[in-house]
Amino acid sequence: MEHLPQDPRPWPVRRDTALQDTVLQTTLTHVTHRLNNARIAAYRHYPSGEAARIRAIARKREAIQDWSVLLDRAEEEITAHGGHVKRAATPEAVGAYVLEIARQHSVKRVIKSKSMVTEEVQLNAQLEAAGLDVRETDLGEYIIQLAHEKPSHILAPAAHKNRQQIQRLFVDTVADAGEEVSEDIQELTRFARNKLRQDFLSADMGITGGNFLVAETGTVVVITNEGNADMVTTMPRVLVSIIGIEKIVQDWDALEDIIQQPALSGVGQRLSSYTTIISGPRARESWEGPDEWHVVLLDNGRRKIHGGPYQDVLSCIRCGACLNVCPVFQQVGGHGYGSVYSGPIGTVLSPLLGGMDAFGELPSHLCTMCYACQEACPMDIPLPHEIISLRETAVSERREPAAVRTQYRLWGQAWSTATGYRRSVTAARLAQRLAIRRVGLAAGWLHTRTMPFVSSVTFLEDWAKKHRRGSS
Amino acid sequence: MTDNSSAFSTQWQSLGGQVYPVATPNDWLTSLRAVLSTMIDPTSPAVVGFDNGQWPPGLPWDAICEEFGGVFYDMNNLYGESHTKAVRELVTQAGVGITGAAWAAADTGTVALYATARTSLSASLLPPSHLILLKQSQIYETVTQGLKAVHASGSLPHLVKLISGPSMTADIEGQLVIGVHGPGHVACLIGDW
Repeated sequence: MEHLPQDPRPWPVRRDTALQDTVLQTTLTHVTHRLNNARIAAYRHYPSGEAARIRAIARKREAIQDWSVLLDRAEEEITAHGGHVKRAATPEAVGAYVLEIARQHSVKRVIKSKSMVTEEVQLNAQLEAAGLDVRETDLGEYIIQLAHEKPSHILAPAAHKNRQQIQRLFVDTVADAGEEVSEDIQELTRFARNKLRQDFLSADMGITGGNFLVAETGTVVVITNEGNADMVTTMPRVLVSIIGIEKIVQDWDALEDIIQQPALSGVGQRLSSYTTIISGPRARESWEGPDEWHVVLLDNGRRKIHGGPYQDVLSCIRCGACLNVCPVFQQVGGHGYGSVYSGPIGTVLSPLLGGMDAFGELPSHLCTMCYACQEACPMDIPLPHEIISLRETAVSERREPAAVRTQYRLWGQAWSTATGYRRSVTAARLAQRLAIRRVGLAAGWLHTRTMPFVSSVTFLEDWAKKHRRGSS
Repeated sequence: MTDNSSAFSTQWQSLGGQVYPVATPNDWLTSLRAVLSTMIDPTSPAVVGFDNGQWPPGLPWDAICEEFGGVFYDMNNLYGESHTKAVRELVTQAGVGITGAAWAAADTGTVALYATARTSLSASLLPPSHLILLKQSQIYETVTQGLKAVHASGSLPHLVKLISGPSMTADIEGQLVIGVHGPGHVACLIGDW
């Protein structure tokens, strides 16, 4: 199994599919603009949230730097509270461990709250291949699970679908024979609530991701707006929390500063509707919570990033703010990236985790260098800088096609002198007269853009002409 | 109302929750009747209450619930080996869950619940309506102070839930819908006793 799942369709196919999808174009624009405006308003009216953000950046950078010590501490604390810790290096290791626990406890049905890391390791496919019944419980994840698709947005996984498509999907997949399903969004949500309630009550195992792992007390923090992680952590008898090792924070002081940032930056709330704080399995005197709690700490390429030029990317809190401001993401959506991690963060993270062979095209093709992500990122990750750096790697590894490299070299040579530049204008005039706007560097570029024609007289030529006339 | 109480009320209401201030200890009955009249649904009449020993004393829960077509269950009266199973079945079918809180925070409009022997997290989660009884002295100015209290309590509860308004989603076309998996109707009775 690959480190990071990859859409086998090439970029031009993914791009054109997205650009021609009118539903996606409408829903995605609406969703990203709404979330982005909410983020800006939330910080503007909450100065202490902004102050906490600044402190959180410094603490999170330190936590990443010292993560070996902190992860050991977290493991000691979780174990001391009666939990179990498994360090997993690969997607297969996660799947094998979860299946082993499921076997020990005769688990048949698994409920999950939303977790990008389980998307990364394709956990559902691994568990289903072993005969387990796995149910996603976040409404958006539920929808894409039924549709056999990948998330198109970190926070809103079904942002590419409209109500009519979801209504048909429910009728085709989960509605009972003859059961009416309305197109009304409120009713669609109620329908999903009723279906999923049965799954919550009958599940043997719950699986969550984790937004933060507090080393000081071995505490896992999970945030949702729907309340589904509360269900997943409260109802089933076995709980597994799967967490990327970069989610570590030092202590409760650091947690207090960072805990609000995903909601502030992601959806413009001061705190998500539900925050679940797990520090152990059910205490003897308590009657709610899991009998057994397992924490899986996933590496899957993260340690390779640590100590290198891209270490800051490990500070990401997966809020999705960079997706919502990115002009490329707003056009092509998450599926355009061909990776579970999309948007600017996915453009950096995907090649680092999944390799340049699979994802090297993302930094080169899916960024306009507008720096909007840099401004939006609450953790101040220098995403544009890292994208440029990955482009440099792609160029130095000669990953661009030979024809493209040659054309850029010739272009560079031509425009490095004034004479060369003027000649290129003359050449462009000639080229457009011969109608060769569909070849070379212009190929593809002009499918979705209109380029103004090169003027028959440039400013400099006009100036020179008038100057001559005036002096004569 | 104290400053923290009114700040909490403003924030909780902006998140879509309701607040019923109880001006004096004598007003509990009136406020309870006001809130339960909006919450009790006679088609799922069970109202489950988890009195953690810190509720206002002497309230006629049975009579108030009956008045609006509900049936009150005091979880402390369910005993025996099948206690957990019985509680869970009841909570699953209930229309209203009533709990106290460990603390609340004004700046984020948050109520904190701990999993202990005498409190219920599922009563705050499974029924379509959740009523929280809150003392003014339990409300901190900031969620940071509340989190410090969790951590400072010596033995960390194994499960802590922070609730900031009703359950909600915007997963379909970005349109906000209240009440997905958790309750859509959340109300706080705030007073002193």
